[in-house]
Amino acid sequence: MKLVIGHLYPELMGIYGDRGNVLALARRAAWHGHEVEVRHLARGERPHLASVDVLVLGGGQDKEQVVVCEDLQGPLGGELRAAIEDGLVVLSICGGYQLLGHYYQPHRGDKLPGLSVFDAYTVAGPERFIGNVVISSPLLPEGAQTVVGFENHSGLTYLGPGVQPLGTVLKGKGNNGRDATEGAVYKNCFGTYLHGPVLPKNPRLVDHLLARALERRYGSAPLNPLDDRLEVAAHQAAVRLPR
Amino acid sequence: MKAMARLRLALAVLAAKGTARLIRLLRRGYGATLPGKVARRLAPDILSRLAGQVRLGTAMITGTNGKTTITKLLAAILTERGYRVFYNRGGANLVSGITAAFALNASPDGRIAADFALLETDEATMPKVAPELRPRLILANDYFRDQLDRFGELDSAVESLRKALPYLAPDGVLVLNADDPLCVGAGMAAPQRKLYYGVEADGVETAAAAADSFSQAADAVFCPLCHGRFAYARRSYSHLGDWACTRCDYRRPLPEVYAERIEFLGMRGSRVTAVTPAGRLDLQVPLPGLYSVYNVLGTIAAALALGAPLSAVAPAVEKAAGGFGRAEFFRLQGKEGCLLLVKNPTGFNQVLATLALDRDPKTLLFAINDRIADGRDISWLWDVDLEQLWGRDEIARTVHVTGDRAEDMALRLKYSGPESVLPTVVRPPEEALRRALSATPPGSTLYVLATYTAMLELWEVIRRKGDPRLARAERAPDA
Repeated sequence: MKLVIGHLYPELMGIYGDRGNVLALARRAAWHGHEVEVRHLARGERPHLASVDVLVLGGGQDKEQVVVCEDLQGPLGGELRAAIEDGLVVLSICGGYQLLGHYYQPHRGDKLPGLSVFDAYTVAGPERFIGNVVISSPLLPEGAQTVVGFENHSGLTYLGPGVQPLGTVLKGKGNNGRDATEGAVYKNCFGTYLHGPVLPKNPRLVDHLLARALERRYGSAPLNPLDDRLEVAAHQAAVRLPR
Repeated sequence: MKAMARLRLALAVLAAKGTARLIRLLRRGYGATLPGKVARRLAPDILSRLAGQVRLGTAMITGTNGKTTITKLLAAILTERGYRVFYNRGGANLVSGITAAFALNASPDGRIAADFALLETDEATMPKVAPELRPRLILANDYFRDQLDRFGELDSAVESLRKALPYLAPDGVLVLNADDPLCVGAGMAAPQRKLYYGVEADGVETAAAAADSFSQAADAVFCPLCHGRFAYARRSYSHLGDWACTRCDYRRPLPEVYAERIEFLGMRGSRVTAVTPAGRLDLQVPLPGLYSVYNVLGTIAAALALGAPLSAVAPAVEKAAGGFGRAEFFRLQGKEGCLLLVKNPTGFNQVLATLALDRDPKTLLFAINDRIADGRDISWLWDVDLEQLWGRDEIARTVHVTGDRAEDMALRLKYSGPESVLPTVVRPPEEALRRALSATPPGSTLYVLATYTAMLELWEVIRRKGDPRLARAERAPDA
């Protein structure tokens, strides 16, 4: 079966190795025996979202985030929102995650409007949260629910009732450093502050995204077990890292 | 009151020297920063008081890459000319390291007898130290993603330079890499004289840049003035090149010091024809890669701005041994090794591209730590085009991985190449070095790519057991 992985704004929202997420999705899908196509969807292009199975939106610096925000207020934003309502699998990281909420209020300058996919808003906080993170996500199989990553953000994100967190913070700060939530999930759309990049060291999460994408397109999700010894070793080493 | 202040200064200098001696006696590393902390505690104004005595002025060298190399080269040129010069060593480029360099070079009664002080300065430290140094020259070589976990974001590193510029002497010189729009942007509003350097030679586009321009760390794709897209008439690598905004009239300034022709000689370096306001210069650069050419061009520009003659450049550069760990050869277990520092995607890509210049398959050891000096976030490994290792010509033959984040590096390698070539993870660095050398065929070289603290550890092993020799003299181009 064929999966199309779209990398949205690769030239703008690709800080902190987030392209590793695209690589993890593409390579694992191939190792699971599926045909994979990766599409780089740059600003100004009109991606055909109906043919995309997994969309990745990375983090960016403030300057780039403004450019992306402007672009998402155009026709692409509406198409993306509709596709997510229809079950499109999306992984959004940091700045990308913030732009899928209601708005982001930076330290300086105007409020950046978001797509309101997530019932969440973000305001710039006084300190920058920087360090290793471990969370526990109920989406993943029991006994393998930890997700590891590295956070680096000053935005504080607060979730409303219409959205679930990706997980509970075990180490680190997460969405806002107060309510122990990290990330957000709405339908098949995921948001998180975790870099690392987040996917390679969390193979269960990659497979979870792939399974949802396969199910949506083909109605079933055959995923064979892979040799994950290196992935698991890196995951476990990251769990033991100091904050 | 004045006598009191002088006494405090002398005491601080003595305490710094004592601390440094103690550290050496206890064999606790290089002792490059603690003496500075001690001295500042005793005399908080020590830096400005000592810097004010430097006869011809101080120069600050900053940017993401090349600081150590440029500082060393510049010191060599000025020394060649007979000036008395000191500089901070081994990357001790924060406030305490810079203070230590001054304190340790002062006489016991707090006097400095030097013509020039050269300070490689951490990007974020620029606005903290510039008001105390009141430099005569500031050089910014480039700005790339490097340790963003420490700086927050790249923009703040550039902003730090901007904040330091008011403290550059009004008749001082700002030396900037014209090919880096971030350097140029940072200096734009400064009223002081600007001296630009860059590359004007054609056909220098490296393998890394050609491979996949999208995947290149794109740190400055958009115009800071109007958000328009940049177009490049010529690209060196990543965002360095002959750039111009496609929307407004912001464009690369013409460099006064530039490379007109470059011939690459693999790991042995390159041959460069440089054009300067003082004339033309043919130069053997004994350091590999295009990034080394930028370092040398920046050095030439700074040397000329400080009053050195062009004739002092070639002898000093041709003898250069590089910055700490920037391509150092050693012998151990009867094999030759080469240590290469990697600290950000662009530098890492440049090293890989340089290794690919000759087609022989290589034996490689990666040593990746995530301590403060390395940057605690190692996400950037995924921005490195490791796919280069497995391209048309397989650069990698045998790959070992070590360091605090060995598993992360191994994973990155797994996702970069064919599943059949998995790296071997060996945790203790000493054991990894031993095994990697054993896997190196006789007559061939082990290339060790290490982050800063991992390199310190390996260098310690080599110093203890092997023969660290700067083999560059022997390996100088024979043609």
